[in-house]
Amino acid sequence: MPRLHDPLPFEAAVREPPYRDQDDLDEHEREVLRDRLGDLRNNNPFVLCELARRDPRWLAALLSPLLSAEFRGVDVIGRLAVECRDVPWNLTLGLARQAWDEARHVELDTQLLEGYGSHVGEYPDRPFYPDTNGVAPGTLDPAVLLRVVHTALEGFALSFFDQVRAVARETGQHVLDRCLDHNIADETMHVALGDYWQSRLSEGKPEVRELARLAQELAEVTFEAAARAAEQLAAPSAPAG
Amino acid sequence: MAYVIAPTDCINCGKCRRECPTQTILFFGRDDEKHWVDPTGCIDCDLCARACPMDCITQEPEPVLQLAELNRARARARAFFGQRRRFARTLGSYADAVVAATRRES
Repeated sequence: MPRLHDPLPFEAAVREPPYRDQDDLDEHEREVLRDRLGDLRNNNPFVLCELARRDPRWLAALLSPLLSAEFRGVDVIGRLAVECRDVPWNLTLGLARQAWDEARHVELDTQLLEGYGSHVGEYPDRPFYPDTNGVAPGTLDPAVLLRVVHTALEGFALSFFDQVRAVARETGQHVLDRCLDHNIADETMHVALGDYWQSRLSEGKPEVRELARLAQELAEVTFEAAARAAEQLAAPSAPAG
Repeated sequence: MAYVIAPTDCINCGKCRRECPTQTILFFGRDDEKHWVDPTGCIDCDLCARACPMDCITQEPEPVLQLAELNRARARARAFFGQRRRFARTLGSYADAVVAATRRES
């Protein structure tokens, strides 16, 4: 019987996620999605924001990737809390609390999604952020991951949630507006937690600091790719997809 | 005048950096690993202060910019907003077309 502090076997750290990558859909599923979205490339957060601004029935497609990100948050932060052992106990507690926050966000977003007539899994995911499911236990460097997940990803989420909240306010979606308020408050705490601890953990370790900086720069470039993709799609000469 | 970021309160979320129209808020490569407003590029637009979730960006009363610096920074800001406007317009037209087409189909 393994004890709580025993490392998990690798298989147990990977579970079937409730979201699927758009690239993994079969031809029939792609056809259904194309009918629903008009173009598969419209499954882009920046494009969906504009579509939802014009017609609230697009809100479900917009919220779906936010929900996927929260599911991923439960996975990643849960793993960090359990697998990063040689870290101060206060960080473990902070991560445990954050995993609970992410679980609450899943609950919020699931209910919002259902409120807009959709359900978990109706829209596939277009992840513009790193996937840690394939990372073996023990290979997660907490300082680097805090920089990528907390500083880069959650920092970017703060900016994007502001845009979605603007859409919610413009279109009179008061419940969504309120939920995003809660979400933004939590995300701010998560960024603060990550910033404090990544700085503490990499103190006196210039190589870790450098690796973390590179990882954050790379993550930011990846997020910016979503905006570039939207820009290219909206350009008048964009071919149909 | 220029805006300053209180380093002890900054959580490095990067919102101010993404909002800054003159791209004058620096982070990568700084030894203290904190966001910092380069006063020679700040045009006092206040966008960073409004974006900051920690309310840790304030206006410094000391005049800093020379006219030439200010004009260069303003030109960068005009280019930034011009690019944003073009993006919003293109994306808006595209979204109008998609919404109209999918309404017709349904």
